[in-house]
Amino acid sequence: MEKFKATIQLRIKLLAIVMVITVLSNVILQFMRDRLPARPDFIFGFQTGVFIGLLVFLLYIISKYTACLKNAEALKKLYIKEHDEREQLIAYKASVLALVVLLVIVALSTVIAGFFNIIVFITLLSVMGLLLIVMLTTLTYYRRAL
Amino acid sequence: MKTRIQELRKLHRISQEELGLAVGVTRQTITSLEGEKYTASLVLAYKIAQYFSLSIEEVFDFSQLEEM
Repeated sequence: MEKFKATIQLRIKLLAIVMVITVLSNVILQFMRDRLPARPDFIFGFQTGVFIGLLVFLLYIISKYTACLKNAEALKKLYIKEHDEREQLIAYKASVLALVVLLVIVALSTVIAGFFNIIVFITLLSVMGLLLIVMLTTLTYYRRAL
Repeated sequence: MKTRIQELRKLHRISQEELGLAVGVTRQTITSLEGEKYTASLVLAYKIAQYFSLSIEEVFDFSQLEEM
């Protein structure tokens, strides 16, 4: 359990760094606002929402991990939850299915976009290509690793 | 896969949560094992059998496994 405790402490540090980077990048972007192209209101709203959502999520995870470090039973429960073999199988099956569904949706959208807009078509084609490259790379890695 | 986990658990008067904690899985995994929705890995089957001081075959029923 000491090894897992060290992992959680490392995760807290990394999440804190991500939080600082998020806040700093937002502050820098606010200062550079005049030099950047004007944004429509809904894009500004979306960006603010993502920023606040990310901060709240990071704070929640950090506080959850901190609480677990102070309570041995909670730490054990977290360890079990993260290492539970059924949970891992569920995550694996859901990920594979989600990836296939996403690939099919992107492929269909690419075909449909080809009739209307060349820029959207190329963007979706690039996304599909990237998804396939990531999928093939991870498949190759795990075929060699396992 | 059929198992005797529920029967053994009641015999030892322990909850699913307690058994889960002892063998390192969640309560939901024990529920799935008892409900024959999920088949335990070899390591988990060993841990559960060890917990009840039995062999794996005495806890898990392999008689209905499909022939290859």
